[in-house]
Amino acid sequence: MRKMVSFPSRRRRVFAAVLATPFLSTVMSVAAADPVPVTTLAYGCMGCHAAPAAEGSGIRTLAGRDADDLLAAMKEYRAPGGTASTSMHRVIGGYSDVELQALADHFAGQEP
Amino acid sequence: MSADPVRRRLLGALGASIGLTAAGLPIQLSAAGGRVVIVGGGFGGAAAARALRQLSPGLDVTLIEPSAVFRTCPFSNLYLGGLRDYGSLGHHYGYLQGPHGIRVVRATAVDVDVERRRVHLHDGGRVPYDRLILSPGIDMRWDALEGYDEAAAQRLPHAWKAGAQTRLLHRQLRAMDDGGLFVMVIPDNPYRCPPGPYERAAMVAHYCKRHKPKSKILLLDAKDGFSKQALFEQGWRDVYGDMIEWVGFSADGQVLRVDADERLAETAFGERHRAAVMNVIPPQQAGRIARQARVTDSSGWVPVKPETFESRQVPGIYVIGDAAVAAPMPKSAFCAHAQAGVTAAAVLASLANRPPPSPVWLNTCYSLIAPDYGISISGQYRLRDNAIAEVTGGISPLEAGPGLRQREADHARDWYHVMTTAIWGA
Ligand SMILES: Cc1cc2nc3c(=O)[nH]c(=O)nc-3n(C[C@H](O)[C@H](O)[C@H](O)COP(=O)(O)OP(=O)(O)OC[C@H]3O[C@@H](n4cnc5c(N)ncnc54)[C@H](O)[C@@H]3O)c2cc1C
Repeated sequence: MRKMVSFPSRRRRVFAAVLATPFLSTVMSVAAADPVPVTTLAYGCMGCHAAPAAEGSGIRTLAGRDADDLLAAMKEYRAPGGTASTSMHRVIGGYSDVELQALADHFAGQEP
Repeated sequence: MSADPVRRRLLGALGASIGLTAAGLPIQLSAAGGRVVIVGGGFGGAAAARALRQLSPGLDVTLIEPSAVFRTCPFSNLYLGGLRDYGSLGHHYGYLQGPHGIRVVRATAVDVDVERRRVHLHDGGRVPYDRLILSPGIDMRWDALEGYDEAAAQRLPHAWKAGAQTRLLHRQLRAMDDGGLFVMVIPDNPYRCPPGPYERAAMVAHYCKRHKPKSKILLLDAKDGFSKQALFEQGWRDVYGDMIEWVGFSADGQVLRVDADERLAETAFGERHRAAVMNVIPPQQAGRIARQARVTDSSGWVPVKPETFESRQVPGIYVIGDAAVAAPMPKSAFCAHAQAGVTAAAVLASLANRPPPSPVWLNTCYSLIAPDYGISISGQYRLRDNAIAEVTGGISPLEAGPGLRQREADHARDWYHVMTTAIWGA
């Protein structure tokens, strides 16, 4: 499918950067060549954290939480020997700092 | 593909000043005529319908599913163990059709006309599509195990699709005498839910420990190792002593023939095991409609482009969930949901003639050893060299106190509630 795109991916990124207003929050992943949209990143989290069902369960809702708190918590999970968790520390390793920041901002901006 | 009329129409309609959502994805495609049809209202299909409408609220989305109520395989083992009732496994489509604006068609798709891009329904109806998503789950391979066909499954249930089969196995287990032998026949990889048989063994043991403590559970396995094996074996031993015995391939665990009338399983070396209750999980393949649409290969599963899960064989058809070849991702409900999100974004990008956004997928599968004893496996997957790779992941620690096992059991229940509510609920 990529072959059909008329401009190469570097120009696409520049194009994205030009459009990078608060409405276009794709972020760069360190590992992958192309950024993963924050909606795609956040969708993965919904497998356990979808609101409002998570309310009242041991799994916390993310929508509307403070961005700094969210970022700090995610970085704690990612740190070697960080916060004891059941599975968070196992899935969060692959996210870059930029992605975690984007996730924190994304969830903070959602209505709880 | 640049001659795709839908693409041209869309491009014309959207022009250069296309509206963008937070994801940079085009919105209101339906005004331009993008019709997305989904076959299968299970974990992958229903989640895809929800995700499409979330990313593109005006999109024309049709979901084809024959059942009024979807019964989940997840937690069907808990029903067998007596931890949940049957009703709790059921989820209906009311919210999808009402508040979420998805057209739900109660029908079975019997064929796909890939030239004219139409899905044929069992009642003669035709549903046209611009993009088609198939999430039909699995079919049993009735030709793969001697003596095991659809009629035999009425006596030796597989209970690997939730519904009547699950109830049948439940009834048989309840009717078994104390001291009875419960035999489970387990296939080689790949199959739906790699840890599923071993969780089932624990849940059957949980029931037997309380009601039929002299009973035994014998697992005859066509492979030499399985998901979370050390954790399962530790848990089985700690909670159920020697009630569960696992026999792997090398120890003559592979069953080559079953006899439904005699409730007999015969192994590769000719050993015969006679059971009081026999649960046969046969080899599997993609759901029939995937074969009709000619997206399966000789393995019976569907090869897909890893970035989007579009079929490698038929353009415009995307296949997610258990039917797709997505290794190293397991065939789990969690993965089907994750794939739905990525593929929804890819379908929207394709309709707008844009390259698909980069994917990331997550998985966490919980298994219950006992009501207060949970274990799990997790992974994060990304594209590496145009193939799916696990970038991080792991399983519960072997050394852990009861506190962690309890928390994982609680999280299993939380996960089920959150996931089913996110897909079928408000
Ligand atoms: C015992 C057991 C326990 C499990 N536990 C877990 C767990 O704890 N966690 C987990 O993540 N996964 C678990 N799984 C795996 C999970 O059930 C599957 O991975 C998941 O259901 C796959 O989703 P799917 O959309 O591919 O298929 P399904 O969820 O099976 O959905 C397929 C749907 O398509 C419909 N369909 C099929 N053909 C057609 C057609 N021609 N026309 C119209 N509709 C059609 C079917 O009616 C069905 O509703 C378990 C599985 C089993 C067997």
